Amino acid sequence: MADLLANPWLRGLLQGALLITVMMTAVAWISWFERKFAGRVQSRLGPTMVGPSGLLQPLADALKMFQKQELIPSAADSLLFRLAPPLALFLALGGAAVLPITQGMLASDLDVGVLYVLAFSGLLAFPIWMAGWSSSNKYALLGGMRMVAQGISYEIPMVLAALVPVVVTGSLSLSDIVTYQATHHWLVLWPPGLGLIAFIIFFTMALAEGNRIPFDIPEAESELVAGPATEYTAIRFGLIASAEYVHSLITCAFASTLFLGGWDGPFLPPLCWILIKTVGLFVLITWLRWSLLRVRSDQLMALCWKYLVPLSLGILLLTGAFIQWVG
Amino acid sequence: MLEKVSFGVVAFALLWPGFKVVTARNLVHTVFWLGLTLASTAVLFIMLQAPFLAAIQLILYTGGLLTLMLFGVMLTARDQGLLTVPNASHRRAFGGLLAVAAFAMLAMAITQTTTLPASPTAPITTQQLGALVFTEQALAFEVLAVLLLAVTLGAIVFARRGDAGSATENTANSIPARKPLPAPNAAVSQAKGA
Amino acid sequence: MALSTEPGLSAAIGGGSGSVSKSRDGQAASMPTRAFVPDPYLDLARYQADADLLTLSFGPQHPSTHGVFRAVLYLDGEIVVKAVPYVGYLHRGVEKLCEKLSYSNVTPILDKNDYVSPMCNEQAANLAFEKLLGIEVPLRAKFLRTLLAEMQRVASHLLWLGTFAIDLGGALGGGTSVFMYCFRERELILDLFEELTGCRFHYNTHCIGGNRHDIPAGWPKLVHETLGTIDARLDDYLGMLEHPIFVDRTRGIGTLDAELALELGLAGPLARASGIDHDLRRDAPYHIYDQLDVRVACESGGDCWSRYKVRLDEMRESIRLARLLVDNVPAGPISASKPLTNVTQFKITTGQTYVAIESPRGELGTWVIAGGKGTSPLRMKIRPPSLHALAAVPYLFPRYTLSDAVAILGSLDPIMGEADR
Repeated sequence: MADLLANPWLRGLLQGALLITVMMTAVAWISWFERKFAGRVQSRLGPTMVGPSGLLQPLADALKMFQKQELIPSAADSLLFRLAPPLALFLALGGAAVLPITQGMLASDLDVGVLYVLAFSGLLAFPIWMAGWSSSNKYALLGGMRMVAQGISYEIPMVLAALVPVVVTGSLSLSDIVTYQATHHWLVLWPPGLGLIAFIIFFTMALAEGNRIPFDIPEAESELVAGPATEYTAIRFGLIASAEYVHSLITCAFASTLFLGGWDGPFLPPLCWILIKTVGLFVLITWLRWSLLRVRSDQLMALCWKYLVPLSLGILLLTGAFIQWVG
Repeated sequence: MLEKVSFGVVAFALLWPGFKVVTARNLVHTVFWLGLTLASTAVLFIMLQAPFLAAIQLILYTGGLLTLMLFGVMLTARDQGLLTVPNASHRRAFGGLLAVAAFAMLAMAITQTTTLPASPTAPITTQQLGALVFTEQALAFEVLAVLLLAVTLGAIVFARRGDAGSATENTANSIPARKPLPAPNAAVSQAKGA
Repeated sequence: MALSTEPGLSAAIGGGSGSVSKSRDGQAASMPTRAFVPDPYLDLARYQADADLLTLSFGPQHPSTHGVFRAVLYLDGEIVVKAVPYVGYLHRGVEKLCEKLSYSNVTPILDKNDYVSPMCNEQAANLAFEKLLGIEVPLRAKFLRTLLAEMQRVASHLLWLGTFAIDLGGALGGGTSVFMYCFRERELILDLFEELTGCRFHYNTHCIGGNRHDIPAGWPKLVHETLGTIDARLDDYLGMLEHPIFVDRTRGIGTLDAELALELGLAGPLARASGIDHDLRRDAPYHIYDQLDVRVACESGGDCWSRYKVRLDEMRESIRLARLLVDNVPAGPISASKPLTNVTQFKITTGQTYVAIESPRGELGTWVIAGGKGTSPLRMKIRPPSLHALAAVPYLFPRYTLSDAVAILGSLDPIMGEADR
């Protein structure tokens, strides 16, 4: 047994399976949480019928998704249509592999963890586009095109903002970044002001990346019915929906790792802290989602290209100068 | 053993989509298969203990290149018919010939090279790479930056040229200028007395 | 502006004495004559229709077409180049049906026309019948009708605000939150209506000669409380809505100028948002509006933002009027006619009339020609404000993006039940 675990490939497989199980379970309950939260925001109750206070609702939803009839439009591009949902979930889950959950407890300590997470989450636009294009539905196609346009807009400010912690700590490894924050300052506070702006830019763009209101432009139910997911039914739809939740969760964990000190915190064990920070950010996302309206596609692009790209470039330069001369 | 098997899997995942790239009839499928090829290349980099290159491969090639290619597809395809690549036998023959020639050249280059170490040495760190790019290779870096700038400008020029005349006007006017609003309730007129 | 001094076409007819053709002609002469060249479409010549444009069938089954409206949109990317509206998916033949029904049986059918403000539908028809019959409605019924109309306006605008927020913010986000709040408040008003009439939706409370249901004990106090609650909560919605995203999504979007609004026959909030200071409640009073000081909300922007402002101001004004009215309902009978025992109670053999009231959506007119078979009207024509609002779609959608088109359609507040009839 120990021999088998020593083999990196087998260990990777086991870790992957564990990771997927944990993430999907987390997603189930976090979706329950969001529905409850939305209910409270809107002065209603949210799910109540399945289990105590509707706690088993996600399970019921998953069961429903699995047993529903699957429809593939006859005009759809069958290959891409079938491949898009699993690919979306795969890419969303992939980012979780390098997130340091506690000291020394992570699936894989990559030297380039920051880039790795950014690469995976950035690629998420692709399966969504695939879904939109292959559906052979005009609403879906418009949604897919919006996704690509959105993707190339948010990606640059997001990456530039994520580079601020990298510049400060001098490492692309997420565990190094957290260790630095545990021994020095949380990067949202350091360099003073700059870290906060970088965090805000990163978080805003993370909303755009996760298709969350106010930037859920590709889905835009009131305009595009369901965007790229319009023609999807049953578990394929479920996969796309859960990919979004997975992605939101991972982005929250990623943001708290980069800027909020990750597992670092007083009194409580590290695992508690990363959970508190991740869920806290998720609550913020949820809160924003259920209280804001949607911006228009061109407004998002203007925001990204006209304001956030120059701003994040400036922040990055200033951070470099700060590190060089102040320390 | 396991390593060899996994290398085989990755190699297959690299070559099969590569084959599909040239044989797929649909331009969008081609892009998709190309994405798979590039992603498999990233996995290959990881196996060679070059995670930085792998991440860059993912971000730049599979991400950026795919996005740009999709835009190319969408901008050039005027209707459904053009989405499939033309299929003429002489083109296929020519392409095959080119491919064989390129393969032969690469194979020759690899077999003739003797100066490369047989086994990978200590992997180069990201820090070293960065230092290299910004010191020794600074000129190449800058030239590349200028090239990319030129490409961006060129793309804008091309995109703009299609929108000559009224189109530019329409696009510019798509969001009309704001009108000044009267103060709240200032316009609420008084009706006749009760 | 010059337009605001004219009461408008149908206002004069509604206030007229019943000789329709004469006042029509007189009014037509005074209408501004203008070579109106509608050019709603962008330069279509530069597009190859099938190659360059994406033809999108927007509706009838679409989340934000407010029912079953359909528009074929020609999109250049995201920008609407041309929009062709189609109505009629909810056509039920109401006008034809009225020709088979006796006058007293028409009311419940009309409830289903503008199903968001049924009270106003009932009033429009019954006012016309009463005018033909020469029945004078008792003062108490007049007060009650005015009160109900104003409360209905609040309820209707609340529903509009909620659906407009959904159009802007999606069914799974902040838009729904506003929607839920608005529906919560609208329920309060429906509760009051239920207490009064026994129905939450299709009341059938107006009859020829007055009202069917008298005010129950304690009801005025409830009205006061409810309207006070809504008035206070309106501030919350303002706080929730009027942030930069909402302003950017509505300001300067879907600009409709006064001339076009007049040409299309728009009235009500849409016209007032475009600077046409015209309100039938003030300019051609019916019920007891002549005794009320109706402050007409008017904006000059003509965009979605102005339409929002106008409706919000109207809601506040309606709340004010309703609270004023409910304190001053005089004692007396609520109907001039006997309780209905026989559907052929009212016989009108000749004459015709047009009566228009200010429904929450604008001028809701009823044109009745008496003298049909039995005790039915020969012809009954309803002028639904929503249909005229939808006529603005081809002029408003082009130049804006698909997202804006949804917002614009939402700001027009169409109710397909009355547009299609």
